[in-house]
Amino acid sequence: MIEVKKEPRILAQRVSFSHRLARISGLQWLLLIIPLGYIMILMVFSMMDFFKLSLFNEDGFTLEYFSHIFSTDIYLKVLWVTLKIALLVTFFSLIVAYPLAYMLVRTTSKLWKKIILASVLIPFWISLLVRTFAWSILLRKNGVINMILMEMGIIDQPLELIYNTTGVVIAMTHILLPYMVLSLYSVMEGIDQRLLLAAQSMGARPWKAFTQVFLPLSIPGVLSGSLLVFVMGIGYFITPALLGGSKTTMISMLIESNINTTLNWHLASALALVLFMATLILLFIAVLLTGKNPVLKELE
Amino acid sequence: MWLKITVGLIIIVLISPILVVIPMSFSSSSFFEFPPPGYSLKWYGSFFNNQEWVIGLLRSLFIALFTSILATILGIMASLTVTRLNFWGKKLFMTLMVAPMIIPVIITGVALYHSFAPLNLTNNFIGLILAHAVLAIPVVFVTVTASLKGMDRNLEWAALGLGSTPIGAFFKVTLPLIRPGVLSGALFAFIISLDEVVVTMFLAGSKTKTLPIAMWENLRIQVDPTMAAVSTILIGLTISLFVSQELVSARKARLKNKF
Repeated sequence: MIEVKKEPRILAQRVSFSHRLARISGLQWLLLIIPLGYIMILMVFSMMDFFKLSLFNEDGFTLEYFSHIFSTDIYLKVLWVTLKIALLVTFFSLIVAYPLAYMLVRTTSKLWKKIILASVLIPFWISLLVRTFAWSILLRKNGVINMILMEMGIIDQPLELIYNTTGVVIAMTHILLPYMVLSLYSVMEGIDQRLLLAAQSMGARPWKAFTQVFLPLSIPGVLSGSLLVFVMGIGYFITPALLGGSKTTMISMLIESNINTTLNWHLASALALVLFMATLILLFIAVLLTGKNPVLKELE
Repeated sequence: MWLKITVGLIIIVLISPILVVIPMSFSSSSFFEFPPPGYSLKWYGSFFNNQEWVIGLLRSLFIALFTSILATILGIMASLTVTRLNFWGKKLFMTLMVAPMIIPVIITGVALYHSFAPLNLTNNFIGLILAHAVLAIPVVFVTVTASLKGMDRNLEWAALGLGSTPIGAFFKVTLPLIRPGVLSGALFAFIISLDEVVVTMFLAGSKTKTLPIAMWENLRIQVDPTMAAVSTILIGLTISLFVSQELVSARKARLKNKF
């Protein structure tokens, strides 16, 4: 005869803490609420609170700050300079990134792939200040580039490469390039490489196969990459502040000087709202054009 | 052929800024001469003898460590929300989680300054950590969501079927599986905080001046070659962090292949 020993009742403390927690229904919604609340309070509400200053002052609702921005020559010039620099940066980063991304998808050599990815991604993660500082050494009047060019006898006088649009555009292109390369690469990767072979086997020269087959198929990447770089370009602060001159004041620098120097919070808020709306509109265009959110692309 | 030459030239231009800074930091000259006329370690000496730089570096590392922890926890929660829960407005939620990455930092910085000032959170480590975490959440969210999507969900169902609680299943099954993604997300968060200038510029004061702020002031007023030494230290730090992460994940992959 086997005597079966009866299990005693499970005591309350033997139920683990996590089992007890799991009984509370709806607890998983904390996963949603905590990060959402964090971003809402620190980002959304504080931004809204700050933007309120552009529309309301001590006398109530007013549009005077916006009309001031859009009717003063200096401010209009800053807006124009911002757009110009962002456009130039977008253009040059597209020209530089396209061959890189093309090589990245076309090459069969693993070594090339690694070298290209490393040379794009390593600078990307190195401190922004370090990169800006490095460009200031390269571009200054007695800097490395001017010295090399003078040694080679190409120029007699040092070129003015810094504290003007040229310097800002060169450094910002270098800094924003990874975004362009990755946008292009993600689209080019999806292009069926056999299409190029098919075009060539039917008699197209390599160049023609490229312009008529590959280039049109890569346009979505060009669009999303350009919009991303442009959006980041218009809001850029550190590089233009360090490498730009008095003629390259961008909107972000104007916001900063209104906060720290002139203490005109209302005007700073109006400028920030203009910049924010421009960012939103451009992202909206990106969604319309490519049917995808350029920022969420990697997650879909 | 032409393509290879073009790409080769572009690569040289891309890495030349880094390659120029490193020899410059060992220069014996007080000016930025290239190639340096002689070599010395005096700029490293000037870095380690200056309280402002060294304390700034320590403060930055301290803030970056806590930012990385906070942003990783919040980022993992947001990623779990997106991959495990179904609710109305998920797209909006995802957009909000990546918004700090795309909204110009200057706006975030001024807005946070505006709302932190009345709360006494300026010139304060807690304020800086809270603000840096906002900027670091998107990158953790993106990396962790990608690894959660690439994970075999059945393993989690199996753990639940065997009587595990959802919380237990997460810590014993899911988290070990997505660890590489979590580690690289935490690393990115760390680096974002270590390098943050714009938001810090508004929020930091004399007692919380971080290394990037000291660098920023040095660059704005007058640059001396100590900057090159600081830059080389930061480049070395960043690259070694990435290499060690790469080694850890390579070892993981090798172990995985063995079985």
